[in-house]
Amino acid sequence: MKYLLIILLHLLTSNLYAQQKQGRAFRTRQSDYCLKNIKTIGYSKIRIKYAFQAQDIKNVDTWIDCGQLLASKDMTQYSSFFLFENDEALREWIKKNPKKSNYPNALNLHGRERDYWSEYQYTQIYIKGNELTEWAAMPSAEFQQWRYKEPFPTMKWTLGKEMKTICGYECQKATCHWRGRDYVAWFTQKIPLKSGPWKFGGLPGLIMKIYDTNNLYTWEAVAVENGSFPIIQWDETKFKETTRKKVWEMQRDYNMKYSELAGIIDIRTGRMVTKRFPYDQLELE
Amino acid sequence: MKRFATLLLLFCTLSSSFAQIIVSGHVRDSIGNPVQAFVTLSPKGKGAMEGYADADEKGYYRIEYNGNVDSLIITASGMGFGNKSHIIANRTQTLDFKISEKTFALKEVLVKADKIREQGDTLNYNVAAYRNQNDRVIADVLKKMPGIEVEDNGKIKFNGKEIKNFYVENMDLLQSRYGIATNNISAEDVATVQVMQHHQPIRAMKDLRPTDDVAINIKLRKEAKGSVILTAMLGAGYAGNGIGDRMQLQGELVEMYFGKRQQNMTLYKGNNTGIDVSQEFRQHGEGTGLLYGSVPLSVKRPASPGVAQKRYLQNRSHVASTNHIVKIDSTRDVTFNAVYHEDRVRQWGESVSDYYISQGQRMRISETTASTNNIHHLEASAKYQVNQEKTYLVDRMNLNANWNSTEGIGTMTDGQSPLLTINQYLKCPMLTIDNDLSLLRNLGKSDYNVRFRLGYNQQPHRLTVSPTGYLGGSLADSLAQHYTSRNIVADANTGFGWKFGNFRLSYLLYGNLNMENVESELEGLELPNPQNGYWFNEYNVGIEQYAHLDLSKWFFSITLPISLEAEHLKDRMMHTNESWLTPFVRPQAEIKYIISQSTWLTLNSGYMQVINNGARAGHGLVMHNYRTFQRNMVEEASRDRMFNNSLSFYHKNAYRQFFVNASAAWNHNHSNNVTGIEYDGTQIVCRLTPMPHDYDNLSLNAETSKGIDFWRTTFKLVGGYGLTNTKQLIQSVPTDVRTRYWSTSAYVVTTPLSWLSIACAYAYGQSRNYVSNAANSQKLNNSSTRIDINFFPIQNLVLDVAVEDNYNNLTATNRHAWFGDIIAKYKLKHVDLELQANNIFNQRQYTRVKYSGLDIFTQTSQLRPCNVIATLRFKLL
Repeated sequence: MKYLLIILLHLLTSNLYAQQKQGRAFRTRQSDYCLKNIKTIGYSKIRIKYAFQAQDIKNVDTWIDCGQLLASKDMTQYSSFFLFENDEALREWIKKNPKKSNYPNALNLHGRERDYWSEYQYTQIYIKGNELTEWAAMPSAEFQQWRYKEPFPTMKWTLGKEMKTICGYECQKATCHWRGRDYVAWFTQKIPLKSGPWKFGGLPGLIMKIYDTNNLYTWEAVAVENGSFPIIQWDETKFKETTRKKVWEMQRDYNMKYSELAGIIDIRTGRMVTKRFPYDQLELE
Repeated sequence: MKRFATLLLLFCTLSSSFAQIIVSGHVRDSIGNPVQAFVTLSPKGKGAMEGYADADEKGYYRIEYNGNVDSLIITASGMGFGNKSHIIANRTQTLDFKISEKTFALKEVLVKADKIREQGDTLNYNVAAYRNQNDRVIADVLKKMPGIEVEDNGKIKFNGKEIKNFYVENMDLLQSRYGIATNNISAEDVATVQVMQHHQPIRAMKDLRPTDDVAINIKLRKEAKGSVILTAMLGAGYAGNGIGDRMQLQGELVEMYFGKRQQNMTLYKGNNTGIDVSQEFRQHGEGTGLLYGSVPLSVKRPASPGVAQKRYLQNRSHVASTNHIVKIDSTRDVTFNAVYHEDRVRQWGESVSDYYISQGQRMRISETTASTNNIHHLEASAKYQVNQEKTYLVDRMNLNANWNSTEGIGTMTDGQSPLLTINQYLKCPMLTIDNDLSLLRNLGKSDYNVRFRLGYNQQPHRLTVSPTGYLGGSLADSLAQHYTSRNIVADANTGFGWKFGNFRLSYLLYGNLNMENVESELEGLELPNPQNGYWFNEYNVGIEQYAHLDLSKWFFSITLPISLEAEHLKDRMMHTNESWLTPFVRPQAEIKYIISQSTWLTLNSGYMQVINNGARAGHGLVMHNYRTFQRNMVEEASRDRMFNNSLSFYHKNAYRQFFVNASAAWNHNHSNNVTGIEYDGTQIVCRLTPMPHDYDNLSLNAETSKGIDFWRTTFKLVGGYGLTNTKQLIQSVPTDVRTRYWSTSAYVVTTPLSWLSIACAYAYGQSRNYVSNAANSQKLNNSSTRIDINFFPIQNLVLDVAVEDNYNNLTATNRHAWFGDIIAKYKLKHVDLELQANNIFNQRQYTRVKYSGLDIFTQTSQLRPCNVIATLRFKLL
């Protein structure tokens, strides 16, 4: 009975990981990198929206983030649609209130646990040719934003034979092992884009849904739209060049020990808060 | 040997059937340049692909395949052209693709349609998410949107607040007659309804004067823009036995054009089917804001019965309107609007008025009336507007004229005297011309404005009543009340405002005048003072200080007008020529607390003192209607002190489609005179008599609406409670009167199945009046319930079955009045066919009881009988 309880507890907690932002790092105010000196670097005729970590795919409030994939002729950008909307609203607010020294913390920011930071939301990923660039916005304790380049990661996909409809498109199953995890992807050839959410891509068609086999991370397409969508690049002067390793380590550390890194003091004891949070990073290597 | 040969043959066969094949080639465009693409391979007849390769920089690709199917599908794919496939035999071969670049659109899909998207202060309602086949015009969809309320008269509110502007593609074509747009623009032509909060339409004041105003903008689909849309409707039908026209006719012709530089809506609508088309053309909002005197004469006729207007309105309506806006450039535009309404409205009804005279004594008067209201009404306005970053200039001229008349034929008895026949005739023409000129300048951190309004109004009314036997002291066979009011109103103000960081201060200097001349004479009655003839002029100069502090979460504003008001009465009949001079302070304060970006509280408080010597005028008798005569008996100014307070709460959550607002208001008035009621036989004589008294009113209101994705459902709930305490003078006895009411209404619209949509509306109200002299007070309960069930058995067919119940607890018989309607609509490519059967239970009359605590009024109105109408609606352009 005791073992049964332990197993049940383990199952419950591992499930919880998949349902929330794992770390407890506070999100940054988008003051210094996404409100001023932003650049429209192109336009996309399509926009694919992805629900990230949806508890209920039909209820936006149960998603951690809504990602958006945009594609111009020679480049794709994956970013957070929730943040894009929030930044647009803040920019409009600042335009309307030019004399105000302060501005709202957030405007129309949606999703679950919106006060916390996650690297899968506060990141822009550009893929151009064979090069991937990650613009990593950090949580509020880190004053510097970072950027690195790496070759577009090779994912060795194995095509499956199973078919399934996702977001109105017939999709084919594919699997791969990448950076320490096994993934299942569902892609559609009807959208002839070798891309997908986050850094995923390389399949002969757009990835509509992807998850790791431990069900810790899931992206699923929720909208396919035609139109003219601006590809907004954050203020490049605020992002310092670095390496993938350094960003990867920082993101892990901020998720696990934000209180220590931010120097948070418990006012009751006067001591630094050292509480750590378990964190199972997407890229294990 | 034989065995070996067999094995060899088998091996060759097997190796041949699983031999690897290679398909290679180039993907190039029409002139031979390589195209960025990838190529996939799928066995024919199986959905899954089994191989793929990218085309390299030369456009070359190569795919290997091990399989034994007969045919393969090779597809080249790229964002520049989509997918291009060839079916080939399963053998090694070269296959080149010649691609012609084209734009291709993806199949759009939304797993979770964002029904409402919030962008800053703007809410974008996705019309497709709320529309179904039964919704013809955009008003039908607006009613179902959470947070938006469309009242029966067409007025639109957002979360309890009336909208200030209504735009179509960001242009103010209709100038507050937005019912024309909401009742004629097809729901299919609208992509998005935008609700703009804190809307400041004046560009020059965007950063200087924040507002709490709400505006709506209609964003059209691309196909509805830039081309003329012309639609027509013809309908005919037949009504069963009963009152009114048997032959039912209706028709309309609507032209619309929404371009980038100009917009136009010109239309004609006519019917005798009970539809009051003039409601569409009603002006909402304040207009120029100039107030004119009113004329109190009227024909005594049945009041509206309290059921839906289409149940009883016996009309012959014709309305034509043209509306045009031209953008001269990006900052200047000219607008012209005109509407002409001609109507003949007939009403039949009977009423019993049971009046309280004194303890144990009542008077009961029974009346029947058949009335005809002839309406000829013209309104036109022209507006020129310059809306620049630094300058705003607007001039608007309005003309409003009508030459209406009403006649009524009826009977009256008090149960003791014989039945009398009464003929009434009222001629009530009216002419108003006014102009509003306004200039605002933005000087960076400061601004100034100048405004000048001028208006003239004339109303020469005449009411004749015959015979006059029911009155004692009558001289002639008929009574004629002449009453002419002429009004000149002018208002000028200029102001200067400064902004110091979060603090705004402005001063407004103003002066206005209101000159009213009244000439009245009651002919045919032997009574003293049958005439009035006076000029009553008001002159007002003042300064208004306005201060506003914005602390991000807290907003404080104070308005402090200090004015000097002069009144002058020159009464020809009373031989008086008097003037009065009074200073006034009317402070107002507002505190607003922003709990979050979507939740806030507002506290308003104001004090106002009104001293009006106008009541001293008009000592001569005026016949308001054949049973009501009024004479002002006041020798001093009417003095009212008003103290108004309200607390309001607003919350919205667009993502959750949840809106709520609630308010509590307390008003305390102190007045020094009262309108006393006395009965003289069957006549009611009203006298304005000195009597200091208080009037206290407490009201609580709340409303909420919520949209949920489950069955595409929208809920709307409204509740209200009110309590009033005051004093009235009845038969010269001061009487305490207390009124209490509460009401609630609910509206639900849901689509449980793709072929079924249900809308339910329920309203309940209870009122109770307590009068100190009356022994008992009775509760008056009213309710109405309506259920609309729409079936969509096939894509182009809509069947609408509606049942409605109206309930009144004091009605002696038939407390529940049931109505039923059936509508069938069939949509063809260019023509919509509609067949409707109204009032299928053939309710012929409706009785409503009103109770004031002392008096009981029972009114029975004749309704339109069961009728059938077929209409044909087609798109000409």
